[in-house]
Amino acid sequence: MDSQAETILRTEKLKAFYVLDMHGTQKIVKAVNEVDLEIKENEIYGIAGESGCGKSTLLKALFNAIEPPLRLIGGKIYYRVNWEDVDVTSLSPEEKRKLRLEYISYIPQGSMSVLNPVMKIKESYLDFIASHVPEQSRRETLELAQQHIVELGLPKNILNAYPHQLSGGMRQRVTIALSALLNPRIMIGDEPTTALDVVVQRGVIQMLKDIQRKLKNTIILVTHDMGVHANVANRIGIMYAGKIVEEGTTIQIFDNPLHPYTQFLINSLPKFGDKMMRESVPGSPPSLADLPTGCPFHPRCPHARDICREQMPGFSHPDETHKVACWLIGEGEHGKAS
Amino acid sequence: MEKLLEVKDLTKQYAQGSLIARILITAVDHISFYMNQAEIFTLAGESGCGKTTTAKIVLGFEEATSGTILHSGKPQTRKEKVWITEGVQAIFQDPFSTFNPLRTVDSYFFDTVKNYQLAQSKQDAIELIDQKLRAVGLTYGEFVGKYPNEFSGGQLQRISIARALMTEPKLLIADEPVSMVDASLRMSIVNLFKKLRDELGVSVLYITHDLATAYYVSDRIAIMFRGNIVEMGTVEQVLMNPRHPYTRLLRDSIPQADPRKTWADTVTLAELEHDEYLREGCKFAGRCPMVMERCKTQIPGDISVEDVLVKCHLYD
Repeated sequence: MDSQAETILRTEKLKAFYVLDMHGTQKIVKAVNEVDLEIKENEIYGIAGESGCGKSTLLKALFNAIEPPLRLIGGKIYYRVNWEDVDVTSLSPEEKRKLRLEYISYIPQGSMSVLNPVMKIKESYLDFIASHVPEQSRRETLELAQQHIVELGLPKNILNAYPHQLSGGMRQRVTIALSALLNPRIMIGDEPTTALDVVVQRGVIQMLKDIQRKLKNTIILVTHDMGVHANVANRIGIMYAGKIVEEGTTIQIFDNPLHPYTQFLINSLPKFGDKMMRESVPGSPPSLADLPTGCPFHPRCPHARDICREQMPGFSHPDETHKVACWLIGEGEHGKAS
Repeated sequence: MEKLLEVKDLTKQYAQGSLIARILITAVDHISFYMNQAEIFTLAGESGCGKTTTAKIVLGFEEATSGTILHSGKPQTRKEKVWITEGVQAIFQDPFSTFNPLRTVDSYFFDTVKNYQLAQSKQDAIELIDQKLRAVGLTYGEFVGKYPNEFSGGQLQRISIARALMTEPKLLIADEPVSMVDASLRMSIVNLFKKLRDELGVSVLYITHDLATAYYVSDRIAIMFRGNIVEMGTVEQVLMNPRHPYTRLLRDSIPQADPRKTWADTVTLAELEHDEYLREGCKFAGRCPMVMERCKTQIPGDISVEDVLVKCHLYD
């Protein structure tokens, strides 16, 4: 990855909390807590973490879809549009709508709930196109849709099918095709392959990679499957309890994971030809409404010390492209970072 | 030694379509396998390969079209459901839908005690429940009076395993028990199966599409494809040295947690599922990279290659 590549999406100390009012008492769920991201052009950025760590909420915020009960508490989100940084949280609803699909698009997890079950795939396509390119005739639009489907290697006749007639993998590929329709610069995928079989998952990922190669755009991919990240991502951010705790290139994360949480995530995966006893990450993730003090990982961390219980560590940079938030790093206890 | 479970020539057909344009889909097509005591046996394959249907028939939820099932030599019939469920217990995929969200989880345990008359007094029942919960790494104190939403998915799945252990079954049927659980917590469930096998002598029929955990945990494995068992043998032989082209495809499609081992070639996905079920000859012929003429017309037989059963014309 070219380190000189332009930053296309940037967040500064992004804080997005769910504020819930339960019988008069307020409950605050700190789903995204001071996240700094710099996502470059022409890369696949992976976000990994367990369920309930705030990954999906972070994506919602990046997609600029912050709606109650989710609230933007602080920080900024910038998109790079026409060589200019645009603070997207201050845009009007109409401006936000225009950016969607044309500039940034979203690939959801459950493809069955995306496509209207009583409409043919064709009609969904027409809807999508009509909302952004209004001046086209119906025939032109259909031709565009057909051309698009064929380019992505899907059979032409699926335009005339209803969603239930397609298999899960085919439906997911149709939703991906829809989100790539207007050649967006950024595509955001929230566990796009999690519900699929391995062979189908491979096909869907292949398609995502092909689209990225063709459009030279950016894909932000959230999944808890480290195997998928190893296969597609250029850079990976590890998220824990609403914070990014480690970030690096894929090679760095897999070869030299520094945060104890990252080490657990990678070592808990079984491998072929190796029947050695493997352990899960101990304990379970903390509730985002009631975070432990200091580093949120300390109750599960085998290396926890007094300072971990009191203060959240800042980032240390063992390498130009590698950063990690852990008290063990920077004092050399984890071995020298290469 | 007597086999704990023996399935012979099991077939299940479903009718699809209206009365006039009816077609028969063979979900399970003459499969045979057996399970020993204290053994973890995996049925692996993609969705729609018939693995869940097989489990349902063994559990007595569905009736087979033909074929026999023997539990420790005794044939399974519909009337004798009670002794079947006492010796065979099930664990399902989604722990959140296993339990009613409006009922406390402990009520399920007391129901089981009552239904199978496992204890005489409440005190005995609590002791028994605590003992089973300890086997899965929980205690009665931390679980009593709680609702399903107060547990994580991994904890809830372990609770449903403890519930299944209440009747002291010989065989657990686990249908995709880890696919709804986070990858980071899967090993705690899978390790539990190993522990149950080694310490209590429980056999597990592990149904999954995740070959990596299957390799880690099981003794023997059968790979299913569109109702057929296409390859069966020990995990070492089947997964480390796959013979059937489908097993190879399945194995190579697992994303490895190693950024240097990415997929090189492209993969052909299934035509419509229907077409594959109705295909004459080998069901995999439409996607097989080594397809031959006779694969399209002749159904391959079960061929034994070094103790591994392979259903493929390549080994005739």
